Amino acid sequence: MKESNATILFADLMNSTELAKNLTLLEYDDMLVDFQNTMFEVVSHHLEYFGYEGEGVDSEWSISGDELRVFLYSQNMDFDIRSALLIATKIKLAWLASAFNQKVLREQRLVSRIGVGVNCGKVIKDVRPWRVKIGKAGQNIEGYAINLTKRIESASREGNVYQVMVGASLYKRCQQNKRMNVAFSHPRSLVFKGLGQKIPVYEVVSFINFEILPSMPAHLQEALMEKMENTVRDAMPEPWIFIVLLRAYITMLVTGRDDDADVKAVELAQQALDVVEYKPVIFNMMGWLYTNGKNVRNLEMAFHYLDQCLGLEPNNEAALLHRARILEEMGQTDLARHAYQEILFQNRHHPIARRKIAQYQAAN
Amino acid sequence: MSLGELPSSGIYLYIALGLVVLLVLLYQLAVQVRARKKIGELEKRIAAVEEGQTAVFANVEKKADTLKEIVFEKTKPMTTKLNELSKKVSMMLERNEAFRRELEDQIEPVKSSIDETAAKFNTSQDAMRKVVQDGKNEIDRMNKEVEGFKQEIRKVKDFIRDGIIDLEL
Repeated sequence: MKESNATILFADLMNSTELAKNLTLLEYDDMLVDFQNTMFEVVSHHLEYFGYEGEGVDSEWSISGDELRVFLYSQNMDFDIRSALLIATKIKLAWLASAFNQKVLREQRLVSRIGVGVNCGKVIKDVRPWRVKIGKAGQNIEGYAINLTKRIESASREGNVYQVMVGASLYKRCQQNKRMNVAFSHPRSLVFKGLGQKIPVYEVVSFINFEILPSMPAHLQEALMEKMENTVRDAMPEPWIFIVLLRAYITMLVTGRDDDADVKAVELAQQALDVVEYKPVIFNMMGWLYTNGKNVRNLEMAFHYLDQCLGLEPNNEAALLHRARILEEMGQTDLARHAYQEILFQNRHHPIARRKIAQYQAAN
Repeated sequence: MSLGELPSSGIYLYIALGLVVLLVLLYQLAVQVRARKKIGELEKRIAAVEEGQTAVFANVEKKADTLKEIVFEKTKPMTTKLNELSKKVSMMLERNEAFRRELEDQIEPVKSSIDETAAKFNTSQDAMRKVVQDGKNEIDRMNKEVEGFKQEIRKVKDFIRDGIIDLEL
């Protein structure tokens, strides 16, 4: 028997009961096969890509019907949480690009979505004698955190951005580690069956991570950009796709794969402002694009969007840093110095702001 | 006619038949005499032709002998000259052969030495070529490694830059 901290991810097909009613048995089975294959490819590739050993050493996972369960316990909880958030985004992306959903999109119907619940907490790993007797010698994972995650996952239907819900323990961990780069909605207190008390649940409203696309299985990566671009042209695109696609355009600009991606990105960001509720991330991306895009470079516009972001989130460190850099580039030294000091006021350990202030002091 | 009259008619028939046979025999005799006469004449003609032929043969042989003598007389001095020339050529060839042997005897050590040197040169050239080729292969391999390393560094740089950008968005 071994107790450990695990990050747990549950995912399942939303409205699968309704789908089962409306589809023939064969059509429903085809959909399930497509779903299971997609989950298998994404999760197995992800764990290998990020160096998980699997087989109960640091992770294990299973697919049953329309449900995916992933347990990560590498003893580095931040790593596991980031991994779980990546898996959540990647399975949603892969399912959107699946043959089943592409057919649905062509017929201009609503795509099938995946709801995800992620949480972390203590679990017990143990080998059960009765399982050994039926030839299953692998360890069993049990714990309250698992039951809670299942409940959190069931609440994902109420989400309207990523439909990835997390529990309080994971939320707190992400708040402590800013490098996770994930933003959550305000908490929703839900009463779950059998738990007897209100449990706060948070929806992921923004998850910026450049590794989402590069860590996808190679054959899925090929047409993913095109499929995402087609999806955002759809009448009712899901908000999270804008964030993933915009981040992918920025990577294309940074790596020099497409120097004209800034034009497409700015257009998409304008469109995203109408769709995405959590706007600071879009304002920041526009600020970045107007500062670094060769074709759209316009520091005044960048400054404008960063101001918009700071209007919503005055402590947004990324926006403060960009603003300070733009002021520096514009030759507004005093204002730039003031902006860097503002960053240090929020986070006195900020390495870039500290270095800049030191340079200003040395110059005087 | 009665049967008793028959013998007297048969005698006439016999006489007639005997006359026919006699006439045939006489005709045959006449033919044989004429044929013998013709054969005699032919034999005479053949004998005359044979005599003429023998004379012609004798004449031809005589002419051939005369021609042979004339040709021999005409070619004899030339043959002598040719023999002399042949002797001179043989002598020249012998002298040449002796000179060649002498030359070969003198050249042989030099040639061996040159062959040896050439073999040594070829060996060292091969060794040198191998060393150069090995070096080239090594440089190619190193170039590839450096290229791979460059790509890897580029990927790491992109990875780090992309990771930093994540925090700035």
